[in-house]
Amino acid sequence: MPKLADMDTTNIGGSNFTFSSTKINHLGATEYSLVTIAVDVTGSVEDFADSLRQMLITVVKACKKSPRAENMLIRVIKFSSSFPNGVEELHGFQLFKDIDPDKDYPALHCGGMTPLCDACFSSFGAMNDYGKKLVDSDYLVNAIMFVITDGEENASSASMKMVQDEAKKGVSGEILESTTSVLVGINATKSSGSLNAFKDAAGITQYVDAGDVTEGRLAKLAGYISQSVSSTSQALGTGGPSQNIQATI
Amino acid sequence: MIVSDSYFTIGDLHIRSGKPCQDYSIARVMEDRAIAIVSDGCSSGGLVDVGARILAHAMLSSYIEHQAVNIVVDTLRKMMRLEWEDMLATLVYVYIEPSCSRLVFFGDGSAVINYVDHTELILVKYESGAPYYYSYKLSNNYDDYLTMQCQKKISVMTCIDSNLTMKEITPEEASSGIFIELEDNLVSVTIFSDGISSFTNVDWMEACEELTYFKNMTGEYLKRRMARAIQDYNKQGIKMMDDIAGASLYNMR
Repeated sequence: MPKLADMDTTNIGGSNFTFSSTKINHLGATEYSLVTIAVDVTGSVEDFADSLRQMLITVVKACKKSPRAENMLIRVIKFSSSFPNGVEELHGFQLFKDIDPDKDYPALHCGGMTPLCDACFSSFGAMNDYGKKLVDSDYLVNAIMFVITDGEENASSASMKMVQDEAKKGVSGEILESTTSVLVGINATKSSGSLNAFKDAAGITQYVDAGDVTEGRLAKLAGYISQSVSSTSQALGTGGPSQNIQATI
Repeated sequence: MIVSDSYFTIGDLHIRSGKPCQDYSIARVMEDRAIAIVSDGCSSGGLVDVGARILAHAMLSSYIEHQAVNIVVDTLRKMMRLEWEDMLATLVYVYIEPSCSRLVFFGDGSAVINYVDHTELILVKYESGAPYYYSYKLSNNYDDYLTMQCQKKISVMTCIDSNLTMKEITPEEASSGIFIELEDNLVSVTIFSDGISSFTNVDWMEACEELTYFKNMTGEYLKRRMARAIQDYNKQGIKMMDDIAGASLYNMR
């Protein structure tokens, strides 16, 4: 992990939500893709918390091998009503080379209810704020985010309007070259209708049903995420989002 | 500590005519010195995209290894079976050393020199459109060069704090190289090929300032700035007609 002195902490808009990010004077490339993964750690995922952790580790390890790894920054957050503002960072936006997921990703402790709006607001808001900072310093930037959940929104402090406003900023292309957002449902077949409705209301690009939790399914999810991240990074400079992000896993 | 960066890209005319980018640049920092080099091939020459690269790398190699440039160029040219018309390219370079720092023009181009207390913009311009190419020196083709000048002016324009002065020089003086000594309180120096003057309706001085308006000096700082500036100009409908190359040295005091 990088030293604290190499990271900035920033408030999102005028809110109490914060995010951390690598200081710009540590970024030597011309372009970056911002990647955010938000993971549900509410009580209902306790049975497969370790599998979720392994899935995260698999994603990071796969992305570290990408030829575009030096042009990607990743932020991983956990969400549950047991955290202040419903969200806690595992780490802020960092280069993949600075992450050793085996050491840096501890066991996920689960509990609380599902602050889905908080997770989405924190994800969109941090990408927009940091992205703008990078763009203002001449970097070319695009973004992709994944919010992984097994349940419906029931405990956020951020409103749906706050999420919608941040989502619109990303989609308009005024700040970033493109923003792709994916809501992933796991073990969420019964909530699929609600999650689809949430995705439409929030302005999230797509909803993907990852099905029931099995080792095989989570491995596929890890593959889907790392492939989508890679496609997004390759799309930098084309003026739009990747055309290669699949609608299903 | 000195940091460096370089960038080159193709202009509209060459995109439309199917020619390659004939500008090239490179910059390197060594333990106790640094050099930045730009080379611009003559579009009516031969394989000048290759020639410009050879010339720039020969200059770099000569500087690092303390060898004579002409020997390195001639060796590479013969090994690659290139003719002298393939080597028709300008050579503009700047080096920073503890004892002296110098900017040198063989041919046309420009420079932005930032000192602690002021900035100087320099443009070397050949009215004939046929600048002195370093290969004239190596191939003893001085007569060709003189003929191309058609008695037109060669000028060195210098702008310091919005005061623009112009000095005319003779073809003979230009062929010996234009040498400019840099002062001790140097912050940064960035050199460009004559593509800096090819932005439609944009003065060379404005283009120099825009392309060196660095937001931070980390890593590929010149690439970021030049790519963004050209993109922003594009959005405003301003075309970059010629290829452009830039190379920069920055003294992080």
